[in-house]
Amino acid sequence: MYSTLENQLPNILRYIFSFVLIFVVWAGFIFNRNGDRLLDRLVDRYVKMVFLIIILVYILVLIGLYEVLSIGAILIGLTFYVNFLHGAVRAKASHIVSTLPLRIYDFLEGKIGLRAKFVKWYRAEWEQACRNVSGLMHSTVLAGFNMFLLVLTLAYSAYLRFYDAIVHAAPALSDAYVTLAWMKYIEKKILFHDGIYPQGFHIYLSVLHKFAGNNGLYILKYTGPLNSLLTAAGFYFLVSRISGRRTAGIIAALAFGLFIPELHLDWARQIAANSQEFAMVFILPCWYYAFMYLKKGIKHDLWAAFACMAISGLVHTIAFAFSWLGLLAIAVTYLFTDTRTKFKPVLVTMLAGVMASVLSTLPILLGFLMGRGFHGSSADFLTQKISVTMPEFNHMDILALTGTGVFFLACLVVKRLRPMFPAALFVFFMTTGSLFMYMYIGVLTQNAVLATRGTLLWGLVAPLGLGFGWAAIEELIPDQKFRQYFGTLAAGLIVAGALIYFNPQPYQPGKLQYDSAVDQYLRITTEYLPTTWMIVSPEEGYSLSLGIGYHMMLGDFLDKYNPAEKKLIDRTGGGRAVLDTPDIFIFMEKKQYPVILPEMKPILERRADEYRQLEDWLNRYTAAHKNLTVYYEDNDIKVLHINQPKSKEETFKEIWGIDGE
Amino acid sequence: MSLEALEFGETLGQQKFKDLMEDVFSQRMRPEDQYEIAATLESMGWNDRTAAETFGVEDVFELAHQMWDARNEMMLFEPAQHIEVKTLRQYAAMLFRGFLRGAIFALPMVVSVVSMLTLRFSLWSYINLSLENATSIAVGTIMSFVAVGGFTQSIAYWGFRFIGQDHYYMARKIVFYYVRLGYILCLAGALGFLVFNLLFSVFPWRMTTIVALYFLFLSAIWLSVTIMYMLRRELVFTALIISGIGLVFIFFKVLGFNIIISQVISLSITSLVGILLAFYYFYQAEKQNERGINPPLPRLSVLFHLSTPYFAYGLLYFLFIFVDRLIAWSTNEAFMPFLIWFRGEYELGLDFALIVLILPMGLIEALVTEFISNLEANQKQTEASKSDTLCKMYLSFYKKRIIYVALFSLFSALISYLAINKLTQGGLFGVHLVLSSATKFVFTWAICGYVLIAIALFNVLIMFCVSQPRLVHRSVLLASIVNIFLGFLLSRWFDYNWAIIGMVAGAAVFAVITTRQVITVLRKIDYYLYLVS
Repeated sequence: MYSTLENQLPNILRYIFSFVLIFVVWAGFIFNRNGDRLLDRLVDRYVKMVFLIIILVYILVLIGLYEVLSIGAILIGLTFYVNFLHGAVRAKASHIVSTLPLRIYDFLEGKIGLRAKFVKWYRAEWEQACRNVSGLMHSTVLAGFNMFLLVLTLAYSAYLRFYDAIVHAAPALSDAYVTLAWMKYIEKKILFHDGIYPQGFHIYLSVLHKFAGNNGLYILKYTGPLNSLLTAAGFYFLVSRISGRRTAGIIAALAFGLFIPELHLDWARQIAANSQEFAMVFILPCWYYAFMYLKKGIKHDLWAAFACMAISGLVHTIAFAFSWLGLLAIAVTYLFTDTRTKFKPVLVTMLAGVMASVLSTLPILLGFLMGRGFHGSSADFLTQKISVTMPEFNHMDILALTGTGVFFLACLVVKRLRPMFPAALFVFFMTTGSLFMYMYIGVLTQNAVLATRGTLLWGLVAPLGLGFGWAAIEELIPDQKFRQYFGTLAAGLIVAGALIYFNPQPYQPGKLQYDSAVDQYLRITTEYLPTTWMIVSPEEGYSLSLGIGYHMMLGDFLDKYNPAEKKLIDRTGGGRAVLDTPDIFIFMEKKQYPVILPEMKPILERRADEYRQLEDWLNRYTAAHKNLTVYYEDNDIKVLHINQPKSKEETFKEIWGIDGE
Repeated sequence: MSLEALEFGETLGQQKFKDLMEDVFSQRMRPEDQYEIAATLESMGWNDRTAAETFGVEDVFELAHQMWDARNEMMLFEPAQHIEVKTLRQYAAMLFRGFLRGAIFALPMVVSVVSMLTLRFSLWSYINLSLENATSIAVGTIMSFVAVGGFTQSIAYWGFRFIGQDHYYMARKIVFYYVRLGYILCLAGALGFLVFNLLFSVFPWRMTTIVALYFLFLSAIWLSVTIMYMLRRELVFTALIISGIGLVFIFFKVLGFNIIISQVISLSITSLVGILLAFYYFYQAEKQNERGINPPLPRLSVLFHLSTPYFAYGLLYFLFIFVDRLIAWSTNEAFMPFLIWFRGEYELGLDFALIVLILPMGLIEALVTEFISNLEANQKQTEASKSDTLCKMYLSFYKKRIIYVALFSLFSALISYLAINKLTQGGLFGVHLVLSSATKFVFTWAICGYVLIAIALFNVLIMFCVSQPRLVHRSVLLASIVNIFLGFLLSRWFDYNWAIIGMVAGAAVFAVITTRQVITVLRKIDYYLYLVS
């Protein structure tokens, strides 16, 4: 059911629609043009819109007004403000409004032919499109081929990342359940439910969910791979824009898109939806915009860099630290190369970083004011000690280091490449710094966070070394035409070689439950009205059913309800609470899902015991009742359905709040 | 048309001439020229010989020529409009008729309530509906009111305008033009709703289908009901609703169909019959009255310009009336299955409070009839130098009447409140009512809101009488904004049923602004009447 085309297609389309509506269309209405090229504008608007959304939702949740209506109304209001009421556009807008009735009258009098206007517009657009295509075909066949290589690289990267999200229903990694629950808590206007933790990613997910209108599970499943794909695209963006060589961007994107283990990163994290990977999306644009601001002094770039910094701070602390490292490297680079003219811009950039830091700490202060402590397991992880040994170098590491070296030396030696020296110095700082972290910081501290995240920074910087190294090699070729042909053909061979020779295959991340169990949960959500059903299952069912239906832990269910009684009544603590949910679904694993995490062992043992008790409970329930049926059964799981429909009187009271008749 | 000009010093021949003119003009009220009069005379059996023998004229054409001159002369010397001085009985009868008409307008609502209490269902509601279906029907109903609100106002404006001049043909033409437009918009609206739902997945498709069906059929019914109201066939549309309920009874109770299917079939039949009846009554009215002129419709730009304020008012008014429900029903509490989730306790409070409006609406109709009855004549009788007197007179008239409306509405509210209180506490006439605290809360605030709405509606009708709809739609726009903004905040911060306070605040804004506007207009009533003429 989950992986079928008729299930996936509408959900994917809804996701795309929601994403495009908020981060492309609406962002286009609200934020000014920054950049001449489409990709530049898209990235600029995306980062600013994500920043706006996170801040807006934090405020709306705080004042208890977060919902699709309020966020929609505010975005519409902002659109009107920016396009009609703000500054210079005000006079133009006022003219449009004042002449609107006249235009309508002219139209009604037949003086304005909409059809003719449409045909004229259509023709102009069509001609422009033809010109674009013909320009693409005639002027640079190489540009077209480069585009093809980029699309191929990103498409294959998407295939590797989205495979699990589309084929397997169960969420990846245990973190997914926490992320899903936190997303739903945001929707219920609850911040820091399980302790203080940056909620930016969960806000982002919840906004996508609100506009897509489908089950939150799909949002979770699609967003994880998309984050990683956007990071891969970010490599292309940064490297191609700074070096001016598209093929260099493709090489960098290829490295991150296809060779995750070679970068010492974990495929599972690129597939699962985690705050850290979402924050990583904004690190590269942050460095890029800061670099461009210091290079050209355009304020839009400073704002974009600030937005990226703030997002990474509002989403994940480690990513925020990485953003800062890059920012400092860029600042030192420009102070080193041009202290006199760049001192003030560097100061402004640092100030933007400080502002972003202040903004990022506000939610933490807010959490303390709300009486919450830090999220337990995250806090534990920060201080956890592990045994770390010196990592070994692989071919990718050597290539990345070589690339960095070649780029640095080329910029230093070749006069033509001198303008790129700040970029070379920046890449040099980042490479040496992250390599040091990767090699030694874990070994020196034996700290879990520093050891694992040191690797992460290296994984993020290594493709830059590869990309810029490639750009340097291309630039060293003196003949421009030959340089272009060589670059494209060589990049083409590398992309083809990577796909054919290495041929990476989709990775299957660790799961906590069977796909069929999630499938049945999804089936219940479509067949039964929200809030009319309850799932009785182990912990995983809680996040899934939160906000749509009810959930009860299997152990609690067995403890509370006597199967021999006429109704399911909870008498614990001397009370008497009838379980009157019309449809109750009991999820039972015939053979337990093989979870390999060692910390899950006691939990699995507890579950095995509960399943044994459940057998007995069901026998006793069946003897006393006739409303238990098997809802679904396969080799792995069995779902039992208790149907206890509400009486006419109960329904009447539910609707009208009074007793019927 | 009066023939009084011939009464002075008339001879027997003149008397005959006058009688014949009356006969001719009773058949053709507005002949285009003397030849049309000649044709009418011939159709009545007159020929050259009889015309010569009776009136000493050469032929029928000469007689027709004389009649044409006499008619024109009459029009030239016709005095300025007289103020009809009514006897106390006539005055009381006028008020009573107006009151009855206003009150009868609420009859279909009364029929529906009685049907709900006795049969447990009406044409578009059922007491034992599931929450899912109740939500769908409520959304469909609200959408229908908001979608056709503008059209009903435009239809009423143009219809009354042409019917008032006895141009039934033109009235029919323009009314059905708007009905057609209304249908097209409703179809587009239903399609738009389906597309919106496809994109945002607001409701599951089973609910969306019900919303779209109820929306379309109810819209069709409201459009035909407007025509019947315009043609003063209020009882017919009450009968139409009763027949619709009868159909639901047959399908649901006798044939055992599902209630939704029964209602959809009945709604489709009722809407079809409604529109056919509207056609029929228009043709009847055309036959009985002067067919009127037969020019093409006014130009689209003219139609647009004149209709827009009425259309905007209709749209905004229904938005104002229903938006608090949408705000309340979209408040996310512990669990919210869909964006909007019907809450019967809120609806019940509003429904009970609606009783408050029935009698004041009758009074308002009567008072507006009184206001309008001699308005034009009074203006024509007043010398320009004494226009202040006219303004003062109407201002004083208004002040008294607005106090009547306010007091009467308050009285109606008090009675309703006490009656519901009695019903919920000790029972009344053997009937005992149990209402939830939420329903009581909504009811109490809603009756306050409806008192204010009654005052605002009186003002609105006065503004319509002096053709100032533009001022009116501004006031209802502001009222809607207050309603939405305050209702949204209160419902989210306190409880969903606090949305009603937004409605009351909006109603207060509506009442205050329209009162100020009416006073401003009445202070310069001569000027505004000049604008109208």
